[in-house]
Amino acid sequence: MKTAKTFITLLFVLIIIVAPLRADALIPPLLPFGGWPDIIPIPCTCSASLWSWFGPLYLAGSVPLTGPLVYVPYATLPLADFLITIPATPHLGAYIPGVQACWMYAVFGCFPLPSIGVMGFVGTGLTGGI
Amino acid sequence: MKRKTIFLLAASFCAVLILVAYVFWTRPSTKKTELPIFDNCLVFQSGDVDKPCYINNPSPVQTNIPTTKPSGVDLSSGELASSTIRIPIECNGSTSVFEKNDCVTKTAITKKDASLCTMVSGSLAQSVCLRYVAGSVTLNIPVQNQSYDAFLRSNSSVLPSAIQNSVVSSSNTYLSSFLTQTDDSLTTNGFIKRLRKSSLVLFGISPYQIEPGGIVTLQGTGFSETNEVHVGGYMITATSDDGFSLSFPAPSSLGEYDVWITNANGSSQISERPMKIVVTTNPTPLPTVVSVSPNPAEYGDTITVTGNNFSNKNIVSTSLGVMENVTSSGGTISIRLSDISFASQIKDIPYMKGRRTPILLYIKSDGGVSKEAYSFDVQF
Repeated sequence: MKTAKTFITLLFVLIIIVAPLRADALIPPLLPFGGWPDIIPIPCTCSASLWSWFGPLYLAGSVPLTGPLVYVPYATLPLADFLITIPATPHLGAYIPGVQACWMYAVFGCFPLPSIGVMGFVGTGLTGGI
Repeated sequence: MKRKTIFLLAASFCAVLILVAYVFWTRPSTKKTELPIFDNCLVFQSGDVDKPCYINNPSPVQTNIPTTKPSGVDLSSGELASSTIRIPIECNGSTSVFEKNDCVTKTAITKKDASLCTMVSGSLAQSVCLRYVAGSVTLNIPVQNQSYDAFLRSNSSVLPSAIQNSVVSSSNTYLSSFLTQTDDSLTTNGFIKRLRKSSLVLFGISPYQIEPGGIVTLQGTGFSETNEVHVGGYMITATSDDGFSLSFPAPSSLGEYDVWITNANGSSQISERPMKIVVTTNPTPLPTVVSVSPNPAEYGDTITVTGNNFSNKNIVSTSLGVMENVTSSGGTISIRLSDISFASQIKDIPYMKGRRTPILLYIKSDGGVSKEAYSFDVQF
């Protein structure tokens, strides 16, 4: 009985030592989106990004929605035709949901201008395109 | 120690070693050398294409990519009398997904020194052009990666709009090893790599008021794996797993501190826009939103936000814009939706007419910014 206890304890300790060596990704995977920005993009004064209202906004497997997405220069990979956040220009790409990447400056810090997510990469058509 | 115990210890150690080897061992590649089978290609046949390309990408390598025989169903373009779209008969299961290594083939009769472009759009955007071509030209485009919501688009300088939006996706007739992705620029990892190389900017501190030794979380861009966090005269080394957030313990001494970061990308310090925390034994808690009423609200409504830890003057930040210096009374804040900064612009969007849209809301009070966005619906 004592040997069994020793065995189980030792196994448990060894597994605990080994288990934390693995970590899963902290950021959720990219999800596809497509849509048309409707208004001139809003510059985010703290985060140097652009907040853009899309409508219609097609997210994977859902009915058309409306809402804002954020373009972060350099971090968001731009693809042809590079007319990103220009109103009435078709956009297609992928976004990370729930990440707030547009922040505005206030008296003692910044606050988020909420969005559906941040674009991971995006390509565009030409303005007025379908 | 008994011999049996020693045996059991050795056995358990071996079991853990096997477990570790199984988890971390790099498995050998099973990639085979067979070429993928392209048996479901979309074929464009158009008349004269003599306008210049908008995109100036290099042409793809044209080897080892068979062309589809031009037998199929003709669809009239409607806009250009000489154009037809020919879809192989077997391609009758149209979907909105291009798979990696699907083949898009475009054939055109061009004038001398013309250009020929085709763009494959979707969650992957990909465009290919041939320049200075003449006569009968065929352009084969192997799709680089899986593309959701996919369709073919040619910009207006190349093809008439009426033949832009036809989709054919092949079935998975090729080996799964060809789906192995080698370029991670279109993945979350690629995004994180770009975030790490971005300009160092600090824009989020939570909470604003903190007890000595409490954990403060920073958000921004350009965070390296190892960063120096400066809190007044203190310096703390902190790691960032995702390139845009990190945490560190607040100093033990009370006071208000400027916070900035330095790393290989530079410094986040901007003297005109200081980022601060207050270390105090009695921190004001973060505001929380419990409810918004009415929900759904209409564009002209005054909404009441009920919650905790609001201060005398607050900032209300929503998907419709921002309102500053909003007073609270007894744990409630009242605002008229039409007064929010971008609300009137969004209301005037033709697509918004009659639509119900989820709106996210944050409150910034003396204690900082509410941790989670509160969602409510607005009927336009």
